[in-house]
Amino acid sequence: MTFTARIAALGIVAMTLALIGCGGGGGGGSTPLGPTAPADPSWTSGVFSPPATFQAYCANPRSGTDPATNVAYPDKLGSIDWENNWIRAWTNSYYLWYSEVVDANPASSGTTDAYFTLMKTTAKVGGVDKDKFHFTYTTTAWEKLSQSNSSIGYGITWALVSTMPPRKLLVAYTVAGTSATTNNVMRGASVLTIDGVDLVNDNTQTGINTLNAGIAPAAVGEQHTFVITDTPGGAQRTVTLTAADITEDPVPKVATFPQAGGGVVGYIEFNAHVATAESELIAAVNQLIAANTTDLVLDIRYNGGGYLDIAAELAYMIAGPGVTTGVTFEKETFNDKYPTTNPITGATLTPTGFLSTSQGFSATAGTALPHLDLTRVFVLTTANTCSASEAIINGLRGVNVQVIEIGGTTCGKPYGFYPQDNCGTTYFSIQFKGENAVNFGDYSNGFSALNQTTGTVGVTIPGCSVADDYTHQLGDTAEGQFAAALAYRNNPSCPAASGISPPGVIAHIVRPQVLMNRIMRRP
Amino acid sequence: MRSAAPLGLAAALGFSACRALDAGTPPEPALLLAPDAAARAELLALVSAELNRPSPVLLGDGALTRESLLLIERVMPEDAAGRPFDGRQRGRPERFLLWRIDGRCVLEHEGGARLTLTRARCRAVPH
Repeated sequence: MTFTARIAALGIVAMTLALIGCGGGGGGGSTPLGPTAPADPSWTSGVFSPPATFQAYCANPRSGTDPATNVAYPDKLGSIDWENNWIRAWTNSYYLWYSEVVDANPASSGTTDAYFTLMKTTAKVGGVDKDKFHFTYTTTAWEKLSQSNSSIGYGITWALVSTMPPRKLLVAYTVAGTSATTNNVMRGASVLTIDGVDLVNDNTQTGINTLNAGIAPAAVGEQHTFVITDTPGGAQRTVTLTAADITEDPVPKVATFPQAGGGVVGYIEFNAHVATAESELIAAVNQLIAANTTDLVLDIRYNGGGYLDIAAELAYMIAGPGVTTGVTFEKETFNDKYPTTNPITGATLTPTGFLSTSQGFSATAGTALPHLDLTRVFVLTTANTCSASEAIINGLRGVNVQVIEIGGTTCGKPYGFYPQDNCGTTYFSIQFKGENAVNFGDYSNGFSALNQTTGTVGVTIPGCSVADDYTHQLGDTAEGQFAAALAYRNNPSCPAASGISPPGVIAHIVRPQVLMNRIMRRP
Repeated sequence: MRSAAPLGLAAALGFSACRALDAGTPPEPALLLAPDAAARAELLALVSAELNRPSPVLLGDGALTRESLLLIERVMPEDAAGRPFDGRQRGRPERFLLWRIDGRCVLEHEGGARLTLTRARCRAVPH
């Protein structure tokens, strides 16, 4: 099964990748290294051999040198059956929920993709698949993913609220000093046409190609014409946006708000755990300390994660040394075959603590971090709040910092994996989960505010289910989620739950750095 | 459209690399001064060769013009909802620092080589 098909099967949304091919089976070269393949392995249900027994026996062995390692490919002539046996053995050894996988005869699937799809748990939690993150990539494409210090775009991160006609594409946020802000394109603007193509309704392949090319420009200097409305139902206007190199600003807004009833509320918009975030977060916390901040609203509604150590640093800066010194921020746990050792690296499992010094991402390594010493924090969330961002929530809860969630249910990804190549396909299968200081890490359906009753409901924590409010800028005290946080601070009650509206629909965030087609034809 | 320079281009073009620049005046953090296409190409080639990986390196035109630290991170693919495949990374970015040393522009790869930029001009900036 291709990545595209697998995502569709997960019920999220189908998409195609513009520049990178995905899927399983096969590799680069196709010249067999030996004259005949060994006989296919036999299968006995419930009896497993180590994955090394089957590794690199390929239906289409690669030849030559692996550019990632500069050593010869290890591939030998095998078969799809051999490759499926490797998938089965690898799953049984390392998959987090290996004991929940129904054993299947490797010879029963004619492709590695089809067989890999079977090698996951079918369990559900609250009616939702327990494992939502099971996919493959061609190894060549995976290794060739670029390394970069910037991306190409207009300075706009889009929210594709509806991918199918009638589509809805909004501006989620913008980067200052870019084509977006030069043209006064702000959060909440709605796109009606791109280069003359009706974004809302056009369902021709030609039209869709035009829309995708406009949403994700491929080259610096590309210009595309957009008809937009700045507010819902507002006047239409035409803007021509020019693509440029964009350096992401992961912490674009930091502000403090003295409150009439006393105290100062600090606000930090934190959009990605990328390297530059480290120094920006330090500056942000210093700014809040200087303003005598007594409460923090951390806006992570679009933060899908990144470097976990940056999460551990920020959690420390929020909670301070008093409750975090010597305490686990997150520890990785693998399946029960490996209670003390990381089976991939061989290292002894060691928890990640709350990090009190910078780790050298963008700040000088070893610098003591400032700290707010708060006993509670408000987090603004959506379904795009994921992974390392959820680790902040879970890590703080592990040291009894009260986390008050204002927004939609988070994505539910306390999991991680070590990608593994075999025969030209790189497999991603969940191998570990992150737990906090009190050994909690079971939030596969995310975190939900206590009053959330519709859509996916995860682990409920104090707070209010509030929809993302595109009619106000982020950091505006009138913006729905921020306003609810400020109100809750004065009186812990909630407006009617609106965090998922309509139920089950989430905005698909389109950032500029990965060139993907997101617009799809109606099935 | 930006394109990746093939690995090994630095050597082919005869760019000089130096690994011992400790003598002389103390190094100062530096910024590139209005790098032209040749200077940007040299920078890209040197960084690509230093990293020596199959994945292409893409540098923005403004690299090292606003700050003396160049951070190179691997582009992380995203799922259909725009969330990173791997949202709890354990690695570190590659860090390059630009120094002005004895009038030369020297790019230091932390944990790696020091490389002299021959096509670029740079100016020292306060620490």
